[in-house]
Amino acid sequence: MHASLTPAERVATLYEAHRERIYRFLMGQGLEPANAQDLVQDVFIKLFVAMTKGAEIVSEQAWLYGVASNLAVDYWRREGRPMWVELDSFPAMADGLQSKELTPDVAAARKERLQRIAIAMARLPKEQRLGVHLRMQGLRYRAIAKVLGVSVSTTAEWLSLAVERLRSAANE
Amino acid sequence: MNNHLTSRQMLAYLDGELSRSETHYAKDHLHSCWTCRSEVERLKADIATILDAQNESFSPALPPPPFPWPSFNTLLARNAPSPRSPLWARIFVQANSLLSPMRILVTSAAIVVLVILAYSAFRPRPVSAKEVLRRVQIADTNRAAITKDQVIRERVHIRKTMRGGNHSQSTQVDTWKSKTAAYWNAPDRDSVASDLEAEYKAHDIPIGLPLSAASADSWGRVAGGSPTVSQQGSDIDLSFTGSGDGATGAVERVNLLIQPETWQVKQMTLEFPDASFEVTEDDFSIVPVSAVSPELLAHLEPEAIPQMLAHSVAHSLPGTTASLIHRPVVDLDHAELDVFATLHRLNADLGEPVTVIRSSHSVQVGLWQLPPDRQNELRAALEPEAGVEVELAAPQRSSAISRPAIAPLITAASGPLYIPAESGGDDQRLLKHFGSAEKEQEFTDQALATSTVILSHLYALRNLQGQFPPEKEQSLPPEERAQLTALVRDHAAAVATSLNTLRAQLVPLNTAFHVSASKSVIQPTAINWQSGTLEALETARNGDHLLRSMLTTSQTPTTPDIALPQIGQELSHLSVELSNFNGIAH
Repeated sequence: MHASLTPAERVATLYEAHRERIYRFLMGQGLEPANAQDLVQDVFIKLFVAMTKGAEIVSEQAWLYGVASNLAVDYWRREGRPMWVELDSFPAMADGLQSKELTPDVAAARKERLQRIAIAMARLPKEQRLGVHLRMQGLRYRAIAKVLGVSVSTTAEWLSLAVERLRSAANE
Repeated sequence: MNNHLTSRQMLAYLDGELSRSETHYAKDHLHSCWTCRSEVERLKADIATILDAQNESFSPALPPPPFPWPSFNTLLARNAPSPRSPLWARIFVQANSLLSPMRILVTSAAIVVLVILAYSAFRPRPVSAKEVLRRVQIADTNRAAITKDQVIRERVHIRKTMRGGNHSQSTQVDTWKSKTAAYWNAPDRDSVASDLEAEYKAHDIPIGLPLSAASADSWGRVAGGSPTVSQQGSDIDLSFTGSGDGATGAVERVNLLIQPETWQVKQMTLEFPDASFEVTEDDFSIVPVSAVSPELLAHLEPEAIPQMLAHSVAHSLPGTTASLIHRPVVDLDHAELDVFATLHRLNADLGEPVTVIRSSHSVQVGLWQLPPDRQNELRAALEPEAGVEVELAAPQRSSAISRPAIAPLITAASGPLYIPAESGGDDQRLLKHFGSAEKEQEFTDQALATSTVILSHLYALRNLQGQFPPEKEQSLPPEERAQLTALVRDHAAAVATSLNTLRAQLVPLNTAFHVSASKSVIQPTAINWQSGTLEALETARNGDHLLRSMLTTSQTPTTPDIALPQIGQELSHLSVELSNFNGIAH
């Protein structure tokens, strides 16, 4: 698919396209900004090394998020403390939303609902939060279980608990 | 039709994660059950809303990256082996097997240019004042996180110097802060503390902990002007120079000395037209309210006094008067110690996310972040203990920003402020030494794992010292003191063992890079194990940071010949500090 590109060129393209998203993914796991930025760079260097060794990478994005998750879990273990997510102020309502056929009241209620979910997301236990974020990236339960170091059944339980918590926050 | 699908089954069904037979059953059930079918539809809609929340609220509210992104070529230049190395040539050829010789030549020239660019990019460059203040704020948030059953005591040294002369006066003051109020417990007729307090009031700055982010930020705003950042020794100096409008009593200059390892303000200097005040921190601790005298609590939590008197325990801190003694039925010291012993027995005090908080009537153990099996194991061991409450759900918090239940006294190291000019681009020597990337990775994994074990035990000791400060240890009955000593010894012995392992692991590298064994320049001092723990943890964190700077991709990469002697020095310090407090624990 990308046979015309060298590994360095291919990873450079992916780095430009995904570094911000991987950074936010790591920040979402409770890392500090400088550590998250360091780890993003590690992830892409690891991808480059894997490609130059001829590793078979089916989905580059899944690979990136998988490695980022492993680095986040390593970081948790090193720090040995709860990983709470610090949220800055919420963004103002996007122009796109305002242009939809929503009355100001409905738009404000929707925004408030999304913020309640975001706060609940920040308060989830770190393993549940990581599980949900990996699921959002399309990872299957088995792959998530491997990252978290638990059984598929525990992963299913954690995901269900997390989704129920987020739903409760949404419907408060 | 009574056997409705569980929420877990519904989610797994939507995710396609049920087995074939389970899927068949779920489909059949959904065909026949309106309730479950409606619930599945609601779940689908809620998942879509959760995705919207992730993209529109959660992700955009995360702090942005603190540094500009380097280009990937810069990253490669920093991490890839040198073009002159045969190993590099091998990897280069593998990576570019389809390239023509001309393109290899052009690419090589580009890499040389990039190495030069990378060198210039990593020359010392200051972090902005805004970023420094942001980091101070984050560190302070972590350090000063308390529950309603805890208060903070910051003991500060204040020196007042009159302008135009050498006359200066000093004093030491305990400043206290609860979740709702703050109070400076200055000795009677202490003019230095009173004068400083008067300056706070004159400038409408709320009385709080003097060396906190809030205090620093308030004084900075009062001074006005653009803050400047400079390096002073190993510390960061952040200065606000006043507008110089000559207003009577206006602050002329505010200086903050910040430790880059912890991002904590270690000294604040306020310069006024007639005098200057220099405030330094002597001690910082989080204290259970049960150990604070009622008189002091009256200043911190007036509304809590009647309730507190009924539960107060007879452990006053130095400088506070003894509280009324109404021992609770359960001895909480004993319960707390039993909790730590149980966690230690089950290896749950080495980094697992377990929180232990002592309230006025119980010891609360938070297990909500553990997998269910581990929760059950620890719950079964802890619940039978009198005075212990096990929490399986996270406590509700009112703020959007959640904080750890037990604040780390030392926050995560964020790396030095200045990036050394010599750093980066020297990985090829390590690679050459190890012979292959796999062997280098194997060594890195092993060394970092050992360092992590050292840190885990020191964090466990840090938790113990936080819960059992010297005054509290002294008041324990002999049996309980012996139990505490055994725990301390156990962790200290584990640190010593891992320290020896790490030293042995580093011997081949030291030999290869001609680094001689270093001896510690520090001498053992007669300090208690509580203070020794904090020193040892700080040293171990420095060592760990250096190790990672040398072996991994880091914002602050370091070359082996720079890092190895420093690592050796830190490990020697740690050895001395360990023998120091280990001896006292005996």
